[in-house]
Amino acid sequence: MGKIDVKEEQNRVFICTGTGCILSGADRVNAAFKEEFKKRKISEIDIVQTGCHGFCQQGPIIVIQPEGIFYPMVSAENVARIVEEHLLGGKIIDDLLYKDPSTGEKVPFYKDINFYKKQTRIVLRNCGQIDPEEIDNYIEHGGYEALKKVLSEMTPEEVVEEVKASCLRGRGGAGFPTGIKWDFARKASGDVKYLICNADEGDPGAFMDRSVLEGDPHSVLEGMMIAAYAIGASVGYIYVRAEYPLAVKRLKIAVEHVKKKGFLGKNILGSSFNFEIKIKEGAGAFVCGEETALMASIEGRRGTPRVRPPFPAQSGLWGKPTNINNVETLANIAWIIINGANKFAAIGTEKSKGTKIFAVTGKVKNGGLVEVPMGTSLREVIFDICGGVKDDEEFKAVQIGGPSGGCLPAEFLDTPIDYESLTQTGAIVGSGGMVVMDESSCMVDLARYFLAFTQKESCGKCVPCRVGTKRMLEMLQRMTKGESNEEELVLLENLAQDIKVSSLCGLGQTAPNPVLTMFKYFRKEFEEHVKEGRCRAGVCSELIAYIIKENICKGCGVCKKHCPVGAISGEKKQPHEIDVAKCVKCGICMQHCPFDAIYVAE
Amino acid sequence: MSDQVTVTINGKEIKVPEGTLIIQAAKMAGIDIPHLCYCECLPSTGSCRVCLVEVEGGKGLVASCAQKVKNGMVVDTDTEKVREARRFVLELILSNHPGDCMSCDKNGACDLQKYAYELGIEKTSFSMKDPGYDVDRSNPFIERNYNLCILCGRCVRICKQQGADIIDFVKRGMVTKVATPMDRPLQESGCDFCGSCLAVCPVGALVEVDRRFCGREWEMKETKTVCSYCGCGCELVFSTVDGQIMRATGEVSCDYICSKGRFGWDFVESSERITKPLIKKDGVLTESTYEEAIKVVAERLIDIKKKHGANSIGGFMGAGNTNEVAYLFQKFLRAGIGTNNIDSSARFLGFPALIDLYEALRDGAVVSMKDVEEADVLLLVNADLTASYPRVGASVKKAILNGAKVVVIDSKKTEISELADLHIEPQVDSEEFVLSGILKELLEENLHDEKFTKKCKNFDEFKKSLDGLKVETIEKETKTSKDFLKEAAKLYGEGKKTIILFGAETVSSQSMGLIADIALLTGRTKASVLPCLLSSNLRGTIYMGALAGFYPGARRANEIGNDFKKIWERDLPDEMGLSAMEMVENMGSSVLGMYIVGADPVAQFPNSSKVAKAFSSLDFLVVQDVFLTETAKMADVVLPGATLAESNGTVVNLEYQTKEVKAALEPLAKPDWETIADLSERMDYTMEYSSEKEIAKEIKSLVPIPKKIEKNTYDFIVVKPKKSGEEPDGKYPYALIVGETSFGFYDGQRTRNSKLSILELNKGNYAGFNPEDAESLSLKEGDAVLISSRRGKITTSVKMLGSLPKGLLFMPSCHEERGVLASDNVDSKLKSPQHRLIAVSVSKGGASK
Repeated sequence: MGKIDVKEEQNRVFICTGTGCILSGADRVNAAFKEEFKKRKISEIDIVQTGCHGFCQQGPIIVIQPEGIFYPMVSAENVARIVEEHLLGGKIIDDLLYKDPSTGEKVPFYKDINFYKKQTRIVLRNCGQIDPEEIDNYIEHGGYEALKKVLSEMTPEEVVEEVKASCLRGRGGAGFPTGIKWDFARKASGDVKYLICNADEGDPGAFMDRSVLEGDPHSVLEGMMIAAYAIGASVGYIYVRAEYPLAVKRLKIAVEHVKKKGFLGKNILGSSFNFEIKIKEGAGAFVCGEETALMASIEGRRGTPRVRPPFPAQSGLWGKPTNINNVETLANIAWIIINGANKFAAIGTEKSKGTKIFAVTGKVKNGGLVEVPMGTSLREVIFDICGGVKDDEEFKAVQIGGPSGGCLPAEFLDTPIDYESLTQTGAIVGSGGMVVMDESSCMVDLARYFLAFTQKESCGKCVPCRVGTKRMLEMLQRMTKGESNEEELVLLENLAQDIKVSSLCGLGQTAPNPVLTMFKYFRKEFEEHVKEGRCRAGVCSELIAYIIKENICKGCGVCKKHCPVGAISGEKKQPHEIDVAKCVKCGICMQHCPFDAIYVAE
Repeated sequence: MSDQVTVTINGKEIKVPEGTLIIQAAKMAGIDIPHLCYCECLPSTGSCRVCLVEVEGGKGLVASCAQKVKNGMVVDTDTEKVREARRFVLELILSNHPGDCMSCDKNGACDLQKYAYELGIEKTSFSMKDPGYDVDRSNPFIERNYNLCILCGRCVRICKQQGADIIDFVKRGMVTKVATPMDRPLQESGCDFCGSCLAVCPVGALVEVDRRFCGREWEMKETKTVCSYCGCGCELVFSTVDGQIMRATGEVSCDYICSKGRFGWDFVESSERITKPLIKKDGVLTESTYEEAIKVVAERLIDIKKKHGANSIGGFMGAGNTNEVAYLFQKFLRAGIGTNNIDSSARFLGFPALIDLYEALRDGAVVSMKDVEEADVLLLVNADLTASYPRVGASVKKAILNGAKVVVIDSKKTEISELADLHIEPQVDSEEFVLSGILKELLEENLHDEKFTKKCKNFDEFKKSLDGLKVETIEKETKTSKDFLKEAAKLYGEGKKTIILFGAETVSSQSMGLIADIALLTGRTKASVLPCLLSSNLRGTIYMGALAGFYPGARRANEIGNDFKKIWERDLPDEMGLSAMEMVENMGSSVLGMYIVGADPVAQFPNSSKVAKAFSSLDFLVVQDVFLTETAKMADVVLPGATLAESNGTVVNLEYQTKEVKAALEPLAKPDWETIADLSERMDYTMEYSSEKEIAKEIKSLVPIPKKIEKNTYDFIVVKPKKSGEEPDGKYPYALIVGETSFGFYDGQRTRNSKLSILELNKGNYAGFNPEDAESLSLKEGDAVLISSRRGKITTSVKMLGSLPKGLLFMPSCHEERGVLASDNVDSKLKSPQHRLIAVSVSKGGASK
């Protein structure tokens, strides 16, 4: 865990103000602290608003330093107590502490929490530890030392070599070696070169880039400056989604601060290196995360991909050599420069070095951002770090890599997470989204969900993606309704394969991945839907029925009262009945039944 | 020379230039790769995925239209994997495409249909959906049925490349659609109706309204001929079914042709055409026979000649007839009648001043469209290219896309000036000073070619004349800072391949001289100046001798010796011959009989009320034309004329290329040359030609086209700049210029009789006002307004034109009454009217037409 800079004797309150914690009430907690401090005339204790701690399921999170006491799910009402008992009274408040889900024991210290204990935080080194809106905070934590080092001690070629030696691979999804990419851009001839930071994080469920930008924007800026120096770029763009207002705000503040410090502009730190950074907000098209579409969007054109080659390194933004790196990739750079390529390459597997952040969501006890060494197994991430499946249900599958990734069953839990191993299974590391599912998830419905996403986000340029994903979606929709047949199952598989080989860009080429892996590992479920009209997870509403168990129903009438379509009938104190023809399968009756008398029949 | 690389395609080894696309390399090897979005003339997008091929060692399939070959590349275009992918893509497209082949006009010419057939796709495997868009039938030119659209984007790209750039994809995914801004109809979106989109659409989404349900592709007969509109002389292919034109296209589908070329041919089929000779009986033009009409004309002309001499007869023709007709007409007058009183519209469209420029520059004034497209600096002087000579405009746009720098000198804004690197907007009518200023700057910046100018014997005289002109005078007259002139001189002087383009009918004869000087000063004597010509056979008409003072070959009447006498077997008149305006001056006194072919002097000549009076004083007037023009209405005999679409022969375009005109339709009337020959026979001057080919042969023996001038030295044209138009004053405070519009043409005779006219306000009968001027006059769009000049007054409609500077009014040349206001002041030497600028006054009111 990175060093925590504190005045030893002084308490400091670290309030997480990542988007997750803000949504769960961090702003109210923050205000309550200020109010409380004002009331009690406390001025010697600092309140530090940090970026995301990653443990989003437990938000709002506060950490009291220097001891590192961790309070999860803090509400504004708890604040007076924390001030009174902990800050002034010096007593850890036992009932507000985090409780380990597996042992049930209270864990007072941040560093002892399983979720954090097993992580290796390089990219997230400062997240939660510093105030992202204060450049001095970043500098106190060793920020911009790497920039100083490359500008004073290293040639651009040496920087490229160092990154090559670290074996860092692009974290945006494709995993292309960053050093080699830089080398192409460095060697491309051109009077002007551009560097682009791709912050158009669009995979549903992935939010590591957002958290880095919100929690430690300077690590990205420093990475950009080093990259620009290495390839010879004079202008940098950060292409960030407009849907990330907090990230945009903090980036803008960071860029202003950096300019004031003289780290951007002409002759940076007395060297001959000139660099400026512009922030370009994207309008939310998923496809704009694709390099060529992203550049088109920056140029003010319609955000659609184009055929490569030429690659951006030869002809990119406005036809000039351009290097594009993802946020997470860039956030690794300063660490590599300071700690050395060897130290980075010592982490991970033979071909996948360093760490990777995963955004773990779905049916998992402790969801959030998890940064682990490459090669960590899925089981370690899901069970050891994230505490396993929610409510201790049976693990069914994990979707890795978002809508371009794949869905893996339990038999792959011990697969090491690295580029090659995951690709072999049909999934991909991708941007690092991980959605955990239990038996209540229907694979056909899930396939439909992912296809609905990619189909909606298809730019419409090439035929296979534009029309093909639509046809796939229609087939899956029919399957979830029991309107399909076995021939269509075959057609769907062929269609998926054909889209993969014939689409223009990565979006289309990977769009069928979830379906193909689900086909591979959960074929039976598809067959059940098609042949038997059965949804074993009870998700596909057209294939299920809500039934009241006569022997349990007490005839209380709650279900009848709540049914929005009047499908339930029955006399008081007599077992009730659901009219299948009228029922819209909303499930409200089941939610409200006090006796668990209603069940879903396939 | 680019390096050659070796590639193997389907086992066949072939050497192709480096940078060749796989699809092109395959074509060179005789292998056609199916494709939908790819089009040779457009940048590739690789979006349809039909042209996928396998490249050995490559990852997956590759779009052959978007990938360049590499040395040693091994490509397979027809493996099972490729066919499977191709079939798959086509099936997907078909799943979103109504199978309306039975009623689709593109049946038999549809690429989608062709490939589906070739791959044996009976039916798509996927469920079919009809997109359900409304068909846009809101204009009479282009029907847009986006239900059939396969989103290949060819139309989008070609509109960007050579059209008005008004369409693009909107929305995304399955609901992606090609649309104008806000999805407005084309006619409300700034579309210039060049129809390039029609030409590249591979399916039936875009079709000509004219051809809908009027004939199948395989029933069409194609005739390659030349457009009858402007001087670009574009090659047109008319597709006809049962003697009716279905459509006009370029020779190659993506060749640019403008709205007039593509849609303006329908005047040919107008019910207003004159199909029978008319003879005035009791003041009424009455249908008659050729026999009778020719007899009447011959008798009357013989009578006038007998009584008053040959020089009491004159002839005037338009500049849109074939060389053969022009040649025969002047021969008839000169040898048949015995007068040199023969003139043509060329007199009003830049000649004879242009002859001086041609002679001064020789090869320098021979410029092809390819030259324009490859130029790196273009200097435009008073040339509204996209409206007047659209093909040149399209080439300039292409040059801009290729990176050319453009300098525009024009007092008003034009489509090209909006794209230009520098737009000099001088005081109206001060171009001569601007050009002189540029010449001075070229010298001052040392951008002239000293080695070349040393060889010009009057360089010192030229330089002295320039030195005598003060910069302050230039700045005062042009109201333009010399910094702009310096910038223009630098851009032009530092260019590698530079071309000056100007409108022959919109610059003064002195400006032409100055333009030639700019080219000469920089030593640019090859393809360096392009005079843009308005009429389809302007240059040909001159070279056929249809201009007073000039015989065929543009030879001056006083220098012809005995050449023509020998072949024409007649003594030729000694007089130089009267020019058009001189004939008008003398009508009723020494000029008593006129023969007009394909022109409407009464409406067209400046000071037209005076002209009408003059014509009414004639003893005899015969008019040969396609429509009953204002002049024809006054005629004693009217002979039907033929349109170019019904004629055979040749014309010479502004590139100085001779192009073959071929009849696409059975003529409604006798060919014009036959009518002239018949008349000549009747007047005892035998013209025995069995076809226009024989006339051409005779022309060839007299006139080499193109004319070669062998001379190694060049002379500057020394000019003292002046303003040639009427200066606005207290009584007539506004300046008015006449010019071309996008959908009107010249005298409006043809466009008024075409459905193109619906695209112009009041069919072009309007006056354009700067919005500020209009406001100060309390005028709104469409208001009636009375415009008066020293010659006369007209009532017309107001149109707002933001392109005009304050104080300047614009009137389309196709305005029916444009001649009323214009000045008939004639340049004493050139005898052409100096009517570019007219001083007018404006008042609100009057009954608008």
